[in-house]
Amino acid sequence: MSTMEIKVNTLSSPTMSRLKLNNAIMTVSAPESIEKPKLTAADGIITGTRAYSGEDDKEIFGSIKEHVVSFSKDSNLLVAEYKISSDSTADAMLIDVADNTSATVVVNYTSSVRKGCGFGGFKFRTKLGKNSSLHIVQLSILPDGTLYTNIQGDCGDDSMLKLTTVCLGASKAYIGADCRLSGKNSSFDSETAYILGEGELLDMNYNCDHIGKRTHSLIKASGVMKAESMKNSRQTINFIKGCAGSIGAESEDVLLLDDDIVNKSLPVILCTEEDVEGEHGASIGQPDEEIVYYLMSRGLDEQRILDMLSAAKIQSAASRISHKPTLELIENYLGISEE
Amino acid sequence: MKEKTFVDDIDESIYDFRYDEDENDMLDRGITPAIINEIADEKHDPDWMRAFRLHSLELYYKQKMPVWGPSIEGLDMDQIVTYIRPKARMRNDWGDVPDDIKNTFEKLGIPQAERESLAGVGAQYDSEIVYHNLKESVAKQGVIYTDLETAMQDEFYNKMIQEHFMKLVPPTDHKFAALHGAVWSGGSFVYVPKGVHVDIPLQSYFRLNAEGAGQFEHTLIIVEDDAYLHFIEGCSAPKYYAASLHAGCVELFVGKRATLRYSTIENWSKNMYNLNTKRALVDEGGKIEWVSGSFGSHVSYLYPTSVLNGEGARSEFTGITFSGAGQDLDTGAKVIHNAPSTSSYMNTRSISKGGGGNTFRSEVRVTPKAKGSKSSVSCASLMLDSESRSDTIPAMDIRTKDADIGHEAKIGRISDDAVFYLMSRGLSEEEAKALIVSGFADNVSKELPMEYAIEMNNLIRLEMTGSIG
Repeated sequence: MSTMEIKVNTLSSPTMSRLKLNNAIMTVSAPESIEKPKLTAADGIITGTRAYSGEDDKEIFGSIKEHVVSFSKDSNLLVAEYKISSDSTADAMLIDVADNTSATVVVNYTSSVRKGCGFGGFKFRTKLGKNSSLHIVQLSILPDGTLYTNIQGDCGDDSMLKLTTVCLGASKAYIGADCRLSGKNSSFDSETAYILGEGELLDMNYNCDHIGKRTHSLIKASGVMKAESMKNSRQTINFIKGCAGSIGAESEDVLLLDDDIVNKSLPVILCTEEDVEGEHGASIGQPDEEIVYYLMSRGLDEQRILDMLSAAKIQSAASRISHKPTLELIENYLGISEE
Repeated sequence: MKEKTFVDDIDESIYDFRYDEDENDMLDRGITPAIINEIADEKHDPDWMRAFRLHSLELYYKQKMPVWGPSIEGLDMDQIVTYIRPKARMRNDWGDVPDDIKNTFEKLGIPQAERESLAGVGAQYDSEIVYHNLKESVAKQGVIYTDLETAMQDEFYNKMIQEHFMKLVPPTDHKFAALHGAVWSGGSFVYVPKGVHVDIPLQSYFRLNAEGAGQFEHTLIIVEDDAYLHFIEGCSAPKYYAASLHAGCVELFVGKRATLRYSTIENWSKNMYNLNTKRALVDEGGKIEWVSGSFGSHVSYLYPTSVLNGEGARSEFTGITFSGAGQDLDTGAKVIHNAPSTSSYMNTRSISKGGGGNTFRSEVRVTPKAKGSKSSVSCASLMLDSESRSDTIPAMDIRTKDADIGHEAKIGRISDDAVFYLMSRGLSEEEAKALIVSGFADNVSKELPMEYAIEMNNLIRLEMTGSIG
């Protein structure tokens, strides 16, 4: 089995090399098989496969065929369930959303083994027609292994790409999205939530290019870090000359539960257009002592309180998900299922 | 549609004047071991310093140019003159300074500032300090304010310099730190003894007159425990077609419970590559206050760094960067929390106009030792037109749970409503925008002594003239 080093999550505007945030180097075994997901969708949505035609990540996807997905009616739903085994696997989709169409793609990464997951690489390239919307939901619950996901979006006039990512497991997860708001009034709304267990790595890179006039973006990340975990968060809003009237915001909220963590954040705003509003806010720290004290005074033990605060970091993202089986997976993981 | 007027940029002639240099005073262009030895000979370096220079040169050859910031392709290191022999020895009496140098600093208002508001002044012209003076009352308290070369002639201070020189900014740090280690010349050495409060500021002014030359002054300030100092640094140069280089180095040592305020108004000419490195090491309960105004230079890489190394050490950075046509200014600050209960606060403003490029770049690092530390970063950017560029690239690296880190950044334009209101009160559009920009820069100007705040507001007014296009 050959291993390879692949540069992923590259920043669009590099910074000091010493920070080691300009990209991530992912060491993985070369994919040996094409992942065969369980795809659930109405007839006519999955129209076939074709050779991967993306310009990047060819080391991972260059030799595979990507699914061609076409949404042309309202209330469309595609569910992709990937069961990652000890093999290295990869899959890709090319998703086209027709004008005036709303669609949802739910992607769950779970494991077919209790331990010893291999590498899974997944790519979703999307094109949104006028006045369309696409909501991509990703959930990762892996016991270990390495996960790479990348979403690319190109949004036409008045369209919206919505992205909800919940990351609850994987030894190493590299998650990224790159959205081009080409059409006027188009928008990108991304929310990521995560709980990083002992020794886990999460490396994120979200990039949004504002090209059309009056475009909107919101890139949010919130999560919890436990012992010896490591997180790199890159968020970039790029206001390109001509995108007058555009608004973009980035935010990050990180709860640190243990020492020995490495938490790196790089919220970037690039701007060559005068008539825009961009902002970023970040809050990083341990649980508010007053809240913990109050809850303890109500009879809860400290571990229970920390579990509740961790679950709260996930629930904002989870509230955006309407696909019940996926919600149940999250609730079961967090132990907040009503049953 | 709103009509706008166009007014040409006015000539910043108060800074843009020059005197001819004698080519014979200049060492050969480029950077070679022979030139480094010649500099060491000229300056009568002690043996350790000559060896340090040659070692730094080796490191300079090995290190790569930065690839992540503004382009410095226009800087041809083989064409830079690294040392210019002084026209006169360093003087303590203003009357003894040669006329053309004296005229230069008088036009810049330095002697007047010394008389009116400073405890001491140092003036560097090209490669060497030409004038240093310290008020007698301050000298009597044991404060030393002189150039490094003079201080190294004293056995006690030579040892102190050897212990501190390029320890905070080692020549291994980056290519231009290595270059500095090899060719440094001039600058200031300030020593404030334990418990001494220097109530009025000291100022060093750096003037680069020669075309195609570099200035590599080294500022070393040691503020002992429980002492206080405000040090002001100013810099300017006339405009030439050939690229000039400023690769100075500032090393600040702040003792226990001591405070050092380091203020800079930088107005290098717009053919200058300003690749300066500034760093402060702050001991237990000490405080470093940076106040930084960047207006000049063609390209800048400037990130004053605070290393909070003692429990309860603090750092404040207040900065403004104004970037106009032909400028690409990459500025910001860094702070390393390396002890418990340390705190830092960064507050910056940047303004871009006329095709200028501005990048705010920062780093907040909290090591596992820095439990109970707090950091807050706030940066705001103003775009005055769509020909310009404004980027914010702040990094955070947190390695303990027991830290409270906040960050906020905003980018936007001047509010039409605010301009309309001011115009309804009788101001022209240009005056209204200049007033709003001055208000936007208020965080810095209110931190400066009155004379410097006025100078900074004048610079903003000069830069804003012609911005309505």
